[in-house]
Amino acid sequence: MPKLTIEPVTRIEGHAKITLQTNDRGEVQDARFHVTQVRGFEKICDGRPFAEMPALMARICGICPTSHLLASSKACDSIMAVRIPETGEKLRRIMNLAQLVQSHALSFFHLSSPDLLLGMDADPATRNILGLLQRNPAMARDGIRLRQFGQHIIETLGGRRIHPGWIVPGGVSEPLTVARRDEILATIPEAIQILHRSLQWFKANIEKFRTEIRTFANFPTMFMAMTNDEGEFSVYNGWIRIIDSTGGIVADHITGENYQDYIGESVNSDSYLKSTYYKPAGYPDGIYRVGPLARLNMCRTAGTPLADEELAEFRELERHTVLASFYYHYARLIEMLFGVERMQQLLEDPNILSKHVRAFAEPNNFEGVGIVEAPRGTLIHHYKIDEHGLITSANLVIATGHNNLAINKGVLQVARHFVHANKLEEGMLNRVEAVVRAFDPCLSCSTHAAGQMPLAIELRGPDGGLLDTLRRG
Amino acid sequence: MARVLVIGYGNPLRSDDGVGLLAVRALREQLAGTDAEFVECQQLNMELAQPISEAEFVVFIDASTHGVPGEIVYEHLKPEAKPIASLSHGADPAVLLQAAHELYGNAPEALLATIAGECFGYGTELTKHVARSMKGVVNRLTEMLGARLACN
Repeated sequence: MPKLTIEPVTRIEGHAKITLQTNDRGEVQDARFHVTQVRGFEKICDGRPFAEMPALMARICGICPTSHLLASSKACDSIMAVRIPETGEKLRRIMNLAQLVQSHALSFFHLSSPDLLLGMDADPATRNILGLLQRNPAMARDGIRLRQFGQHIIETLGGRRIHPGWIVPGGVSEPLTVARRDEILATIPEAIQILHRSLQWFKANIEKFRTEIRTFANFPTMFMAMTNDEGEFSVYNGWIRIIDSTGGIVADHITGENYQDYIGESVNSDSYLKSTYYKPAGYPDGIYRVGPLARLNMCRTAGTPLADEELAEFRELERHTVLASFYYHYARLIEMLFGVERMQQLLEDPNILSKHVRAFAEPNNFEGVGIVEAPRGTLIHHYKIDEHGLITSANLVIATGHNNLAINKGVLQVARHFVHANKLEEGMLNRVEAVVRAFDPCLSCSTHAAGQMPLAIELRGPDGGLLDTLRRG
Repeated sequence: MARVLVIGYGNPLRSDDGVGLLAVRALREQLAGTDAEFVECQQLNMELAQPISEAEFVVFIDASTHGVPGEIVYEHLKPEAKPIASLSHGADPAVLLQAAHELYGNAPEALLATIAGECFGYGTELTKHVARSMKGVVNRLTEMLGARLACN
């Protein structure tokens, strides 16, 4: 049976390829998203002191190290059985939100906006960040500024933009000073203005993408995200809830203690990325989505005024939950707005300057789980230690793994709609990549693997012979 | 913003790939107290376009995978519009100059100094040839930038 391969997939965080299986009529029959890199952090941890985990785990990713730092520290908190001082927890939340903003800004402005602004069929030579800044320099400046905003907060709090070590088991290592608080607060109005402009632009241009909205991983699935007693948008504290495609609660109050009763991980022979699924439904029927779209579908309220206004409008897109993965982009903008507003609220709390920001303890449990909402979705770190405090087992459940089944299904949906193997066109293939980009998968969790890489798509006949090739880069 | 901006980039855990960062640290000491600013980063990214646009002169320092180990190449850069990777370590300094011009209206005079590496495996030490060349680059840039900064 003829097979198409897209390798590598571009403008995502990491290395991957897509294969499209076609029949003799050139119609796509099957599609697979393969992650072609291996990292091995779960094994690297074996035998290391548990207190080293946050610093080590932050190295998983150059884009979202703060998320790993937080999940890891929360797992260590659990091992130590400590209660984090209130201010320490608030400061952690601020850094987590800054991380959310800078990561979403990267995804929306740098990686996906070339498709949105220049069009899916634009020349790939210009369909990139440089093309964006030539076509719409104001938007490019906004993207740069917003990412600077998030990175600056991380650097101000943690001392460095990438791999900050400020978040530690028990809290944070240093309290916030008045000068630093005021420095961050001074940047917030501009960030809100940028997000207001960006949301207006996106909403004004939605109509251009009706076909993509209809075909980009638009199907019923469950959704999973963190929530709390108030039903607020929550990325740090709370428990996990799973809802169905109409918003009905499937499972609730999932915590570090029982997550393995609900979440299973399947190993695939053709990819280094595991597929996570809702265990009671089995594999692969237990498909669900995480990340911005899931979080907005889940929450009753954002909990901040401007984000709540946008959330109300977002909710009008569909009758129940929003199922179109194209709207991940929209959800990212709303989440960034929430993040900026919430940071302002936290920073304006007088208690934020308290010096009591860290608790100390020896290990009191042999096991600990930390759960946070990373920009791309629910992130779980689960460690076991021996009597010397050395790691005997580490299990990491990463957001992109939760979305893997949906990404694969989305690739198939898009490929069936757009790709006709008898006549390959660049725009077809870009749409196949773009559905992956909508999920903003983080595959490399490292700093050196993204961008406009060469792309080759090969059409092979039933005998394996090369029938057609399309190359980029 | 400082008149001179020096950007060293690379991975300090990949032996010679970290030479740009180490060179910047040495230059920071040599040019302490002057109107120069120094940036160490693992990769070039678009956020650098703004500070680049605000400088009068920019120096990029990087390791190169081409050439005889320790070989030093100085290249005057012009803004250039070509496809780029927004995150990759391979992002081109000339494209950042183009971005500085397009977005902020100024592409300053710029120089790229590269040192050909020998080992890019895991490690925090430079190989002998590269370490020697780095000293040469630091000395030359100290002299060049010192003279430039001394002028009004």
